[in-house]
Amino acid sequence: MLALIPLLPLIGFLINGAWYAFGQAPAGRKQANAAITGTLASLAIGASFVVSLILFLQLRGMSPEAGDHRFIEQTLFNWMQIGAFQLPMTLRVDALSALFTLFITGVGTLIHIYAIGYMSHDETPGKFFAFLNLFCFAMLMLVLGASLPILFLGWEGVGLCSYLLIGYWYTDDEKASAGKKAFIVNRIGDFGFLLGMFLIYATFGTLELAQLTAAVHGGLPAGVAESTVTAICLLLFLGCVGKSAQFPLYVWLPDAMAGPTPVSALIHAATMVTSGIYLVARLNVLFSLSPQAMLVVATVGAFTALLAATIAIAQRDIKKVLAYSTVSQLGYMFLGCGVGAFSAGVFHVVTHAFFKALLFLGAGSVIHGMHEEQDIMKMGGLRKQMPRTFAVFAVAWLAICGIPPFSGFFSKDEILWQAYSSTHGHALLWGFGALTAVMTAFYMTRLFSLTFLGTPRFQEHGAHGHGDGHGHGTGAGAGVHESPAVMILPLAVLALLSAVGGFIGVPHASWLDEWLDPVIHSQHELAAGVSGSTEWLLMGVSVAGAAIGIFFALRLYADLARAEALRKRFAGLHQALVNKWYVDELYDHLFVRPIHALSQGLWKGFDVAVIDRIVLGIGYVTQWTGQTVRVVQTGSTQVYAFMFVVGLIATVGYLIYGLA
Amino acid sequence: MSYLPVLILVVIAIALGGAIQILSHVLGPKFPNPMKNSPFECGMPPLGDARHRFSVRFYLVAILFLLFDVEAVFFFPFAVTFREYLGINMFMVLEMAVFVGILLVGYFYVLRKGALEWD
Amino acid sequence: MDASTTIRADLLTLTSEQAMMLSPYLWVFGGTVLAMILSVTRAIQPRLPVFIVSVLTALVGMVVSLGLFAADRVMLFNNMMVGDSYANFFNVVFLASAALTMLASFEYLDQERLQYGEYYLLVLFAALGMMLMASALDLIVIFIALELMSLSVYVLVGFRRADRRSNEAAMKYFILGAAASAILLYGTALLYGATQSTNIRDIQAFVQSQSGGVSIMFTLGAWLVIVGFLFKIASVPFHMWMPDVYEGAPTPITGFMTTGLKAAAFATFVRIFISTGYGDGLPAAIQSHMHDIIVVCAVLTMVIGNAVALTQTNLKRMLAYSSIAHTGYILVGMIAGQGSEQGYAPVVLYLVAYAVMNMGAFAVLAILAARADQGLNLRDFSGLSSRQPWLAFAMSVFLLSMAGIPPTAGFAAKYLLFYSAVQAHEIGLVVISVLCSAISVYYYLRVLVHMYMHEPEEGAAPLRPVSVWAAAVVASMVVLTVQIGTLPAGMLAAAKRAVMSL
Repeated sequence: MLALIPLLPLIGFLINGAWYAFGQAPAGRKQANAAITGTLASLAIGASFVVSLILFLQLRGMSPEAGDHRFIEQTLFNWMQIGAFQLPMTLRVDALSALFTLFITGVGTLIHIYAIGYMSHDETPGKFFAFLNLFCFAMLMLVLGASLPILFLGWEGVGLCSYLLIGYWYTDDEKASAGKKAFIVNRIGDFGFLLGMFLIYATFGTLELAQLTAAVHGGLPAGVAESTVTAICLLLFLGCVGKSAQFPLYVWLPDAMAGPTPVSALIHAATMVTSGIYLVARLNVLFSLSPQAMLVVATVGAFTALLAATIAIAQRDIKKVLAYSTVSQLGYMFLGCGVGAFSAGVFHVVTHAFFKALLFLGAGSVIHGMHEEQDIMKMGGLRKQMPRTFAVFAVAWLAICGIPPFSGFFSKDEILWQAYSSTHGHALLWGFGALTAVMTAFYMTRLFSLTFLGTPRFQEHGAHGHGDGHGHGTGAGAGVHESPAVMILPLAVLALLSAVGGFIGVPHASWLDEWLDPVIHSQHELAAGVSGSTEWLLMGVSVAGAAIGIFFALRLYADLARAEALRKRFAGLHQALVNKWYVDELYDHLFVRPIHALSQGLWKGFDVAVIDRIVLGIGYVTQWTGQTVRVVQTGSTQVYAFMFVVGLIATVGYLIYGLA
Repeated sequence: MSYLPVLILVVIAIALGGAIQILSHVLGPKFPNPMKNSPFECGMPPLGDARHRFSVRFYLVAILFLLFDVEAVFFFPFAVTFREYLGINMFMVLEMAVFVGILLVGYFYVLRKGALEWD
Repeated sequence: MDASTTIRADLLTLTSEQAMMLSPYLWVFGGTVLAMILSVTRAIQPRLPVFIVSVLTALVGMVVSLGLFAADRVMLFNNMMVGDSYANFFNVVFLASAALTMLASFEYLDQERLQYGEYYLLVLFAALGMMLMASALDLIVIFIALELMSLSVYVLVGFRRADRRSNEAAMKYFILGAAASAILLYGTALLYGATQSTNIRDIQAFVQSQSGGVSIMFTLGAWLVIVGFLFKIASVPFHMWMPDVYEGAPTPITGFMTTGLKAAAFATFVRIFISTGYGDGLPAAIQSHMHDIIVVCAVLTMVIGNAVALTQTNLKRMLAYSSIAHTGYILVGMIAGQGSEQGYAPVVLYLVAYAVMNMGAFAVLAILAARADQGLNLRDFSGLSSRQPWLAFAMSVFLLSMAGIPPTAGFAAKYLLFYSAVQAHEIGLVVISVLCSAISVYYYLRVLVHMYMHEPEEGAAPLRPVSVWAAAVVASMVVLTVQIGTLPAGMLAAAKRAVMSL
């Protein structure tokens, strides 16, 4: 049963992939329709969702008294066995992975359905849906794996699919290199993950997650230094930093927007990028043992949240804004985890999956309707042309801004409160978070306003006359249209979830906390000098901050001339923001060019001069040996027979001599 | 001592063979010619260059003869003992039947391939 | 009859277990006879029927052997043969290799105008010989089985009658092979003289009972028998025949020789090795000396095989020398077998992995070969990726596997083999093996470079469409290569079970 969850998408991948590879890829064959391949893929992941739901209900049905045993396990086969080291292919679903499985398959299904509409004009939809299903398989392996190697398998699998899908339109150089960038930056993180895994095995002698958790459950085991645990956590966190796009490895995610929008929604917003949070939450017991590591996690999270939010303010590409927003929100989640509020972090993963998927898909709908236009400065007033997209986008906008009672409010507020009140927390961390919240409200409102409100800035006739007859030449505004039902329907479902999804984690009556309790031992101890009334105060502050951000943005962008004036006044700052604080350039100067120069130098100075000589020398020696031996290989049977006899006599002689 | 009969057999054989050779040499009439004086070999003229070609069929027939001849050797021990074993079951007869069957398949194959046809 | 002859009634019947154990052998033999009759039937056009009957014979026999894999050990024919998991494991390998060879040959033979039914018959007879070899416990039976296999293969090597190289190869192979057989037989005679038995179980028991060491006669006999097998597996210094033979033989047969024949020789070698020179309870003196010699042989085999393969530009010849190198690796595993916890299981696994990837590689060569086995030089592979992308991909998988790069079967097998050698404290040997296999990467990757980074040759002949049979062989080998590479546990467990039944 459990195995079906990842297997169904895998089957979908195999069918679609085989069909594509053998039926469509060879030149001249007819491409399959997006509707058919997409339905196939959607059915696969949809069925997986149903199975996840059944298992979830099964888990719920288990007695809570035996809370620690609330899991289902299935061993498929023995993957490898080397000496004493055994690695069975075991899947295991417990409270945490059940939650992740549900929203991966659930949101995944919606996005698959959406993609049927979105990819309807694509040339190779069969390939696209095969990759999408493969991604779901890898992601599910990641969350269902019962041991770190299996998790790592999924981890690498999602990285591969991400690479394939970012560079999906590989004929475009920029898009192909975006894929490469994502892959290479992720490698740095994966290296940390691998090292962390080795260190775990060396320290605890196991890679099974359950055994590992049990080993560190009651505090530091005997003979394990805290510094070792810190090192492990930091190495693993390096992996998370890469995969979940945190400072300083976040640079790949905005570029990853080169992929098709459903991919951005599924992989680069809802699921894959949250696997870092999953890993931290999964090993929360381990992380809790190292205050230093926790501090690093929280600080990196808070800093990334703020940094990305500032950059998002000045971006003009609708998907870039959302990408930086994703980086920022992921920072939030790590902030939550870092202050010990793991369940709050996971809570935000879930609500974020709803509203960010919705935002991306809504943006996709806009892009689709605008004929591949992504610049928000060339949009405006779309609420008339795309009323349904407008409505659902508004829900997502309110959710991400943190307006009650939308889902984002609950999870964000929980994180902020914990950042302030937890024993791991600090007022400064809260300050970073609150400031980010204000800025989030600001840039999201800017996006919303520029896209949907005001007057259209694309060609007027296209907007009014629905493009009949004129405006073919410039294209952008011609025939702006609402998206088909197959795209709107998933949006509506996500809008509903974004609106009410927050109620699973109402403060002090949180169903989520209780559900995750067997996996995540939430720490509800408050730091000294923090009282319950502070909670209400902080909540008020953050809502007020969001409201202020929204208000200013609405005022500012209702009149673009004023915005322009403001931009002129702070031209330097604006320039820095537009250029993303020059981080890419910095990396280029700091790493890419020096490494390039170094490798050039090494190549000329060391490689050619030293290594090549050694290698070639060895090569020459072996070649020479080969040539020499070949001389004996004359083809003459007599010589062969002679060698045979010589060998025989030599060996027999040695034996007789040795034994006599 | 039990080898004495063998010794007697050997002595008689040598004596008989020698006697016949010697007697025919002494008593027989002699009309020699070159053909008669040449050493006798089967199938091919024994004189001339040893490297000249001759038909591969000689070998084929010889090999087939050898094969079937050697296989026939297995019949002798079987024929000597099978009666005793019949008292227990037919296993040995069956085995021999299989053996003969294989032999016949081989023979059939050889025949159909035309290995025994000279032209 | 005098009193010394007792009638043993138990030999005059087959129990149902024995009959069951014999069923694959009888089936294969029956199928071969049927194919033989078909091939000379005049009423029908025998081309397709013989092919189908032969392939089915091998495939069904394989399935039957697979079914018998888990059965308990059964002694056969007065302990001259044994039906155990080890034998059945190898039966599957032999029959699979025979079936795949025939499938890969069909199109090839049409092209070479060699479509004779005898080809399939000889492959089946060779497979039957291999099966008997792997299950024989008596040196005489081993000898007969070995001859059955060898004679069939001698003929197959020379099957391209119009081709001078093919004839020459068959002649050389036959002459040297006959010498090796003679040596094997001489060793058997000496062993019989020293131990009063030709049964390898009895020989082992005899040696174990000799507390004070063994006689020179025994050592000499044992070594001569081992030399017979070192010849068959082409270990240095008894390897000289191999490159010429591999090059001269029709390409699918070369594949068959590197897979089935090599596996058969090793399968039997292991049985003999542990009873005459290297097994439990054998005197330390003989063990240590055998060990020294085999170590030298293994090192020379690896070094010479890899070094000469480096200089080859003909793929068939290169794979022949690399086959020598792989023999060296397997010898390392044989040396380590006694001292490691996995025993001889890595050797068995390596044989399977090597059979799989080599079968695939030679199937690709058979597809690409122009008439008379021309067109297998490196430059003929230039730009294959654009001319035949799937074939190029498959070939890359096989070559990477031979080079031992994950996630292929070659990596898993090599890893386990070297790991067992480390366990047996053969560190020096492991270092040499790893260095040699690093050298081998060069010549395997060179082919990849040609296939993917060079432009096709000007005026290269257009490639024929690939036949369904050959494509099926290649595809299934790719799948198996990757499967063993990623999930070696299942195959390793089977190999262990096979070795445990020895």
